[in-house]
Parts: sequence; structure tokens; C-alpha cells
Amino acid sequence: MKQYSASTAMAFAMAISGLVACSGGGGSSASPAGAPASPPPQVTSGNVSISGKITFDHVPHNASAVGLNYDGITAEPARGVIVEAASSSGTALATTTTNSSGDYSLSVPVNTDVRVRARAQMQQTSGAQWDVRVVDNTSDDALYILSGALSSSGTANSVRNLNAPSGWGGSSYTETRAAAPFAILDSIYIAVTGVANVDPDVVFPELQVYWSPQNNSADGNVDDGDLGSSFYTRFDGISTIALLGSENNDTEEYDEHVIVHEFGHFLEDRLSRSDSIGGPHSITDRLDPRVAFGEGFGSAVAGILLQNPIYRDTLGTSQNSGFAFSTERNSVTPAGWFNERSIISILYDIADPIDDGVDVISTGFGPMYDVLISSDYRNSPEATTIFLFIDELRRQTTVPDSDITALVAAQSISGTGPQGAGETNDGGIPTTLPVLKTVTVGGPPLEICSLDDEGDTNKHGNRNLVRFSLPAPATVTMSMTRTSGAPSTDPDFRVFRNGGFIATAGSGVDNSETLTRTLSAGEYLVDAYEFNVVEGTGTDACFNFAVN
Amino acid sequence: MPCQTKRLGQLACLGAAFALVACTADRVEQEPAAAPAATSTSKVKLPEYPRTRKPGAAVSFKHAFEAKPEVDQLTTVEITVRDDYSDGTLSLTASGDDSLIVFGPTASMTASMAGTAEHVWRVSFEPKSEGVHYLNIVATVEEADLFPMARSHAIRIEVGDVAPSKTAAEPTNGEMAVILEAEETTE
Repeated sequence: MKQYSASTAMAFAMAISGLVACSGGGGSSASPAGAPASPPPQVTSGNVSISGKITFDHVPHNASAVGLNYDGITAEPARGVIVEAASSSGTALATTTTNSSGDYSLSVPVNTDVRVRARAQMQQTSGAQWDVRVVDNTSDDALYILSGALSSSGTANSVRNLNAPSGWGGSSYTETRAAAPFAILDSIYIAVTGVANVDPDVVFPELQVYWSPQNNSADGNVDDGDLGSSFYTRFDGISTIALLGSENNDTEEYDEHVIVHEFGHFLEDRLSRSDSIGGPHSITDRLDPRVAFGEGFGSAVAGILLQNPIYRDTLGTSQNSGFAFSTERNSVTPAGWFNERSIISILYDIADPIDDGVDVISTGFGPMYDVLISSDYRNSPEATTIFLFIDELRRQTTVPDSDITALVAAQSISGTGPQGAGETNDGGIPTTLPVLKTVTVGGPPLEICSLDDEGDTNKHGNRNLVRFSLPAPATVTMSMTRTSGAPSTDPDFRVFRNGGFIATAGSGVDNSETLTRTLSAGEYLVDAYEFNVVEGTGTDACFNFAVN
Repeated sequence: MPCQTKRLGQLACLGAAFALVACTADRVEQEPAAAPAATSTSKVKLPEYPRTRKPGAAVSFKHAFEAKPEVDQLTTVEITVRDDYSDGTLSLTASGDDSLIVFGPTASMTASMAGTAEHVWRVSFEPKSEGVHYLNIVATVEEADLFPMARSHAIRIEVGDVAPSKTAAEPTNGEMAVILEAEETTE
């Protein structure tokens, strides 16, 4: 198993440390360790200092990598979180941010009743910028706040250390799980500072994290905690990571890779571009290529930013079950452009510093990140698949073509260019090739099929990506008409340009779908499918797709 | 199935979610004002922003209660578990909370994934109080040459009058907050 070298890890840690020191946070002077041993000076007017350390209980994984080890709980610093001195009425009298050791220092009026509170919020407003909050989706999105006791600031400088306890009572959670929001934030802290390490000017959009001890894997209403799964999406335009928290069902607060996997979706969605349609998936599935790339990127970036290739997810009774896999593993079945596990292997190998097998590339995260946020990538007329990424990597970096070719070939990927031209691996479904199909405006119809061989929703063969080009503005009619298969079908399609949504043709008309639109000149991408097949209630069918 | 709220769960919105691809707000092109209307819709499929779920075992669940769950009444839920594997073993376990007793012999099941993809599992349980309970399920798959994988699932069981259960939040400094008590040491 590969690990990052000690020097790489140290450089990374130093970069993070340096970045936080410049963030306007508590700074090293706040450290209680640096306080003088002599009695503090007495003051009767003006301000005094309240300093200390904010920590949270961290529950590690078992050595077997499956399940949590409650015997190994340690107090870890809550890094980069907002700390306030609040009055008895809750008014913030002073605010600061913890440094990379969890230390803070606040200046408050003498002889004033205050409590120290740590908000489950990380905010940095200069240089690399972010604003991340952990809120309770089952309680009107209320922010979690860790609160100390109300007591007088007195007339001398003082120290107040706060720890957020795990709530574990020996065999179950018996107390409030105060540590959870801060454990979640700490994984995101590693992620945002890791990105800032390669992009010191990065500006992340607002991110909210939904977590509650009621968040469970029943499908239902998010307000009730019925998430179905941990996921990333946008609610009312706000980027949202929703995390499970239900004891004996599935908890995520100590599953760093799950958290950063979802953060990877946030990164891809907001700083880069994601065409993923989401949905359930597994590392053994054959998937829609947009889903395969997005999910593979999420897991790979978790391994890269956490500097730990072992992805762990704990769940079940007493959080003692789960699974783990290595982002470094190259043996994949079935390998291909449709398998997120292949994508993980390729992306992790590009970034990681150690060569193995055909992997002789060690770029770090920077070049990958630069490609993803580049204008060419974000505005490409093609779909966000491994082919587009690899094509841009070839064009934008100095990584030798032969090294890249060897890496993707090891995952049974041979297509070239942003469309994967010439790909021969059909994943067992011949109609999935070519990966991106082309129809000529005014030309003959293109036959496409919507198949459920690999499942539904977002699986390989469910959908077709069809390209057409308009040399000049025109009013065009797109049509999709059944040719064979299930006797009663509901063909639907959606139209995009450079990743931007244009229109949906989603009527319930039997066996045909038509859409007329006036379009500007350019390249267009159509996502065409049989509605019942993706719903899991249909059967295979084929159609003619035409643009006139 | 139309999705009436953005906060409905994934499965309830799948039909809508599947129909949406990458319509990020800052990248949506405006449709031409003069564009003719799309063909009439007899079935509304509203878009929802995609939800990218976490990885897990390739299994999915459906369920149906044989009777409405009642306090102190043994009830059975039939769970259909679909696997997307061609071989290996599927292990299922179910557990309840302190007020949801799961009838022991039905609390686990093991099945070969070499044959049919769908496995019917009948779990009997007895609620001991009104309210919302959850049947917690863990599915573990083991297939030769592959990593063991798992996926959690839960079934919401509503018994009698169901009052909303919310964590106590309180206004503080102009915002709603859930206050967590710290372990505090002073010097």
C-alpha cells in the first residue's frame, strides 16, 4: 500500500499551518502554552483577555478499518472555527477564529458576565475564502453552537478551554453528540486548506452541512431527517452536504472520506463543472459516464486531500460495521470509462507521489485542480466524463502523453479526445458506443437505445449522449421516435450547450417526443432516454433521434 | 412521480432527479423569448437539483407493510432487496430502537446472489409506543475478488399519532441555534 512520503506530508502540513496563521484568526499568541507562568495582572477597567483551546472528541476507526473504536477517543483541536464571547443575552461581545491548534483569544470588558461559544462555522474572508456551517436540518437549519458556562470575565486575564464531547456512554450514545458538528468541520477544514494550498486565491461559495442525530437512511423528507443517504445537492441555490447521523443506522461524523467525497462534489459543482445526474451507485456498477466521473472524482479527491488512500464508511449497530477500499487499488472489475472505480484509480494515481504499476505520474493535486477549474474544461461543449478530463490534462499540462495513455489503458480505456472517439470497451452493451454519438442537422436519424441491463436511474446504457452542431442560428425540431423494443414507451430528452441547460422535452406522449426551439449557432448536447427505463419500470427500447 | 418539494428524499424524487443534468444556476442559458412552447405535457416531470449520493453496496430496497403498525401488535414488513451482483453472498440484518422490538428469527437473512436478483425478506416487529420508529437495516455483500461492501437502509414506521420531533433550537443573537453544552475547564 502506498503512502505519501513524510516530506510531502510535512510540506502539506506546513502549508496549511502557514495559511491559517495568515487568516486573521487567533494566531499563535493565543496559545495558552505561550502564556507567562507568573500571576496575571489585575485590571479594574478596560478589557481582559479570555483565551483557551477549543477541542472535540474524535473517534477513530478500528484498526481493521471497519467500525469505530470508542476506546480510542482523543481530543482534537477545532481548527478555523468561529469563537465568540457572548453576553447573558447572547450578544457577541468579541469574535475570533481558532488557529490550527484550536487556540483562540478574545478581548472582553472586565467584570462582565460572558460565556465562550464555538460556532460550528468556519469562515475565512481574505486570501482563500470559505464559509462553511453545520446546521440541524431537522430544526429549521439552526446552527450548532458549543457553549461554555456564563461567568464573569473578572479583572484578570483567564483561560477557558471548551471540549465538545462525543456523547458516547460506553455502549451507546447517552449524551448530546456535541463533537459531531466539529468533527465534520475538521474534515472540511482539511479539504478547504488542501485546495487553498494549490489555489491561494480560491473563493468557495457558501456551503451548509446538514447533520442531525436523526438523519437516517430512510427515504423521505429531509426536514424529518429521512435523507436516504448522505449526499450533495443545492437547496434553494445553496450548496448543501447532507450527512447521516442516526446511531445504529449510519453515522458520518467520523467518516472523513465520506465527508470529503461529498465535498468533492461541491468542489466539482461550484468551482469546476459537473454534469452528473446523481443517484445511487457502487464501485462495482457500470454507470453513466458523467456519474462515473463525478463519483470517482469524489472518492479520489478524498484520498488525495486527506492524504490517506483508505476510504472508510462505518454504519450499523454500535457503528461497528461498514466497509473500506483503497483509492490506490488498480485492479478493477469491470474496468472502463463507465466504472467509478477506474476513475478513482486514474485520478488518484495522477496526483499521488508514488509510482506503482504503470503509474509514473505524480503531479500532486494542483494540475488536476487547474484543469478542472479551467475555462476550457468548464465551458466545453462535451459532457464531463473521464474523456474530457484526460483530453484537457493532455492539453494543459506537461505530463507525457505516453504516461497518461498507459494509465488509462490500464483501466481498459482507449478512446481519445473529449468525446472518447474510437473507444472499444462497450461494458457489455454494444449500443453504448460511441460514447458520444453525433446526429447531423437535416441528416438521417440516429438510432439510439435505452437499456436496463445494468439497472436503472443512472446506469450504463440507460441514456444516450447525442451531439449536434448548428453552424448558424436556426429554429430546429428535435424528435425521438420509437423503432423497436417495448411496445409502449415514453421517450424524453434534455438539451444542453456547454454544460448549460437549454430545454427539456418531457411529455408523456406515447412512443414519441418532439421539441422545437430557436437556437443560436453552436454545439449542442442531448441526453436522451426512455423515462420508464430510468425509473426502473420499463423495458429496453430503441428510437430514432433526428434534428431538422 | 412528481417531486413537490426540494427536501423530499431521493427515491421519492428519482423521476425528477434523473431528468436533470447539470442545470447549475449560474450556467443556465435563457431560452429564447420567442421560442415556441414545448409539446403538451400529459406527465409532469419536474427537475430537481441532482443528489450525488455516497458510495455503497449495489443493493436497493422496497418495502410494504402487511398491516398498519399498532402499539403492542406484531406486524410484518415485506422487504424486497435487489442486488446488482452476479455472484457472492448477501447478508441482511435488521434492528429496532428501544421501543421497536424486532422478532429475532426474522432479524437477519443470508442469500446467494448467484441466482435471482431480488430477495424477499419478511421482518416482524412490535412497536411498544406511539411515534416514529425506524427499522435499521445493514446489507453486506461479499463477492469473490471484490471488496466486501455494505449499505445502510432504514424504514420509517409511524405508529399512532406522530408528533413532529425536532431538536430544541433557540434564538440567540438573531439566529436560531442548537446549543451544545461544552466540557469546560478554566485556569
